[in-house]
Amino acid sequence: MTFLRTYLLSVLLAIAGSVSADGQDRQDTSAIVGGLCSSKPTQMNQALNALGSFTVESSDPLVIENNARWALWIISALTKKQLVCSPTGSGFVKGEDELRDAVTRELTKVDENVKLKAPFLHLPVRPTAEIIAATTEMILASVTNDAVSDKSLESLDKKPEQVNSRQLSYLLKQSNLPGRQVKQLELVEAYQLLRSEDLTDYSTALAVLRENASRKSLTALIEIQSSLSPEASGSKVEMTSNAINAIETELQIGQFLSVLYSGLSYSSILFLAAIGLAIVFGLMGVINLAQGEFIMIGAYITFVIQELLASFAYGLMPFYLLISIPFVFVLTGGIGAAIEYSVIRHLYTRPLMTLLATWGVSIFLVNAVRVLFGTQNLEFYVPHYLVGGVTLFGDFLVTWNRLATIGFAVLVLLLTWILVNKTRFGVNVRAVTENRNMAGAIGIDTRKVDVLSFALGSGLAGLAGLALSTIYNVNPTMGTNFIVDAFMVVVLGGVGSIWGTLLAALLVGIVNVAIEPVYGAVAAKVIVMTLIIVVIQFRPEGLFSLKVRK
Amino acid sequence: MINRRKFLQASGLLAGSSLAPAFLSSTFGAGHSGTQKVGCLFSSSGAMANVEGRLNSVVEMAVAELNAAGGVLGKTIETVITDPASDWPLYAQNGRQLLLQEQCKALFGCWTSVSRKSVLPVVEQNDGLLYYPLHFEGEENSNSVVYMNSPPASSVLPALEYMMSEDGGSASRFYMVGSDYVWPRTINKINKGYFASKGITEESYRETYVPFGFSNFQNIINDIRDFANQPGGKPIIILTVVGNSIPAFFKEIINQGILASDIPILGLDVLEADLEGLDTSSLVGHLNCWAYLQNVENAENTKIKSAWSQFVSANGLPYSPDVMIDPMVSAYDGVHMWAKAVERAGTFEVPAVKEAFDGITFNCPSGYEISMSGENNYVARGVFIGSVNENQGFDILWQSDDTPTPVPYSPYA
Repeated sequence: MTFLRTYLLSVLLAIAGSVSADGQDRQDTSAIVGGLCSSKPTQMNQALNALGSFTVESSDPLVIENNARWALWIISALTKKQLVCSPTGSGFVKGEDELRDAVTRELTKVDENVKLKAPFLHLPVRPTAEIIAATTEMILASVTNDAVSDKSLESLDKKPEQVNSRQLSYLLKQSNLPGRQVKQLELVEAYQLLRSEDLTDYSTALAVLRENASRKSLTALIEIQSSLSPEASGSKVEMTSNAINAIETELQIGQFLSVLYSGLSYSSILFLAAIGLAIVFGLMGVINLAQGEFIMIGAYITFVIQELLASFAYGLMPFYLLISIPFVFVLTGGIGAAIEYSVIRHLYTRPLMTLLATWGVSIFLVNAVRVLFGTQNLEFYVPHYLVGGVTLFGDFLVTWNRLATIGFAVLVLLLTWILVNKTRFGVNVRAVTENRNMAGAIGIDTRKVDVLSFALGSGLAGLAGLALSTIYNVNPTMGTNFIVDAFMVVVLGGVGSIWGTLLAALLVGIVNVAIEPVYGAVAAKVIVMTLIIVVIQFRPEGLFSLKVRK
Repeated sequence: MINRRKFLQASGLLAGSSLAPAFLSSTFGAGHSGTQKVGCLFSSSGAMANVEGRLNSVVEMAVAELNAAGGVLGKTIETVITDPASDWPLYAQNGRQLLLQEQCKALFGCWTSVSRKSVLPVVEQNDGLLYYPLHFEGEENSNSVVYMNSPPASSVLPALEYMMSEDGGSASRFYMVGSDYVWPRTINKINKGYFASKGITEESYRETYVPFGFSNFQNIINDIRDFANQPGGKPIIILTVVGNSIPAFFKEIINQGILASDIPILGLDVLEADLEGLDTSSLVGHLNCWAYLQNVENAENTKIKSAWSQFVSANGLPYSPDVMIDPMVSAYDGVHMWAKAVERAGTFEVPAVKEAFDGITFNCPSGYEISMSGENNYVARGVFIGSVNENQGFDILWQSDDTPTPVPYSPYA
């Protein structure tokens, strides 16, 4: 946002004609634009660095602000391909239907015969453009006291070695920067201080890198260690190897946590996919092959609600996932109830027929959605609070959307458990599960219980679809990916047990993910399948089994 | 009429994906004299359906063009469509039916190499002819298959060479992720041979494979971040996962905040269609390489793009009307090159048609005049490297001057 604002401001400034550049500056700036227009990666990178240094050439805040705005304007135009160049190397910035001179920012016209072409962004240019834009944004913010976008701060983290040293030394001198930026700049400085001969500087740098342990800092230290000459003072060698050891330990812990987190996240997905089936198959004994399609329908309903909000209540867009929860649950549950009423209730006594009928239903649903929406993957708006994550320990990155899925799974688990174990409806369901005839005899409306339990199972599957929409591909066939996993989890957990489903999901998820880094994803799948077969051999009822009167 | 067709198609899809693999839906009803059948073997259900399914319609569109121009040898061409459901053995079974039962004189089909390998013995035994529209791993040369697209030496290696050059970012370390089947494994074998010839050692690359339809890339991308920050030079990812794994991989890449400026991805099977549904602003700058990119400017390309969007809206197809991808163009080229060979042979009989292959050319929408040699059934095409832009498409980063002669057997494999 800040970026956009600065861009707009700079355009306004240009319109006001408040650009004051003396002859020397004009020469510098045309040389920079000429370099950017060269389309050669080395020259373009040199120009970008010159652009960075140019922003801090003066000590007058007004000039700095002006130059920084110009630099951001040019970089943004370059990356958006709005910067176009004439064959002679003069640059222009294309607007809606106007053309501005890249150096003076004034409106201009070019002869129609002159072919204007955007310089191509070869791969090595992108990182430099990104990092110069980030530091320039920080410089501008230090003058205007604006906030700096997260994106810029992130690129500083990723490419500390590419930061322009003149911009860095300017920024380090500023006293009004927020704490997070100061910390980052210190880290960037640490990478550069590693080359320092001064022992105090060196140990400060080591301390900072040790605090920010990552594979990147480790690599930098190992490179330094190998370059240390034998005559280097003993303390320097020792300090370096101590820091390396500390970082290595932290990285290992981080790696362990990463695998655990991936495992938990995968388990939560398996659990969400399986919980609906645990009700439908576990409690009611219906082998529902259309369960995956309810997941798909849940995701599509979420999509429809997202689209409706986008056209009628744009302000609510960031919360569309929360808003969708009741709709998805009720609508998918309703579709489930309709299918129970029209198809499945006639087949309770013939399990094999249910299998075929629900398969038919599944094919019908897939193709109905295909005809209505098309086969392509749907695009979901990802709210800003679900994008990215936070690095906790070493390189252990906790991504927000996975964390949200884990939280959602826990919530669904609690609600389902309360519903089945603490409510009248739950008592009825369990009674019907244990002995249908007896339950009927004591006055429970078994038909009603059937419809409602099936609706509950479908509704839960719909919620799974909602939770998965920001993580997985959403298309008509997405359900088929989940049905096998869901059955696997329910059967392993023990038919009819919610805790069994949870334990099985955790087991399959974590074991799968833990094997992956060692033997690869293909072997992981084989090993997990084998383990399940072995478990079922010894415990045919699954890990947890409900005692039922047969 | 349109309603009836729509109904037929919808019911065709329904039945096609059901248990009955033998179900064949014909768009023009029962065959009669004065028509000649050709068959399609593209999955419209299962893991590959999202991209592969639309090739059926492309073949229908190209056939409609042939028929509008008076048919081939005076006969109307009829398309028979099957759904092998992303199930490799089913390709062979459906292929046999198309050849023996339906008497199809040419088959257009297969996306993955494993499906092609499955059909291969069937077309060889039954004197069939298969037009295969995907770029692939090479290392195969059957007299019964026309390889419409490029083997690695004329597609992947030029792209790698660019990325290892100074302009391309001097890549020197490689993380190869692929789906576990013949195409990614062979491509990576060729890549490794190529690396060895460039003096790149084993510590500088990592190779991992995932099952078909795999979508949980958390671990692998954690590992990629770790690999990228190790010493030894600039890393890139060579991505050879296929189907639904591609958008799943990109979703996790976006999720973990990896940009093209951190670790560029060279996606060898990545198409415009795979970017549908993704927030491409975080993917800008990643690369692919094909023999056709939608953004190339020439008259043929304008023609095929408008023909496709009309075809999609006229038939109410569930595909995006303004996305045109390389395999669609290859399939389209294939139908026209087959027609040219038949016209030249003066008969539909396969052995005579094969005799007529040498020197057949076609003005491909890629802007190159593509040509066949009689020596092997490979088609020489141009090479493009594309770079993802903000609009879910690819800008052309680099393109070859001419059409490099395809080399079926790589010296690096």
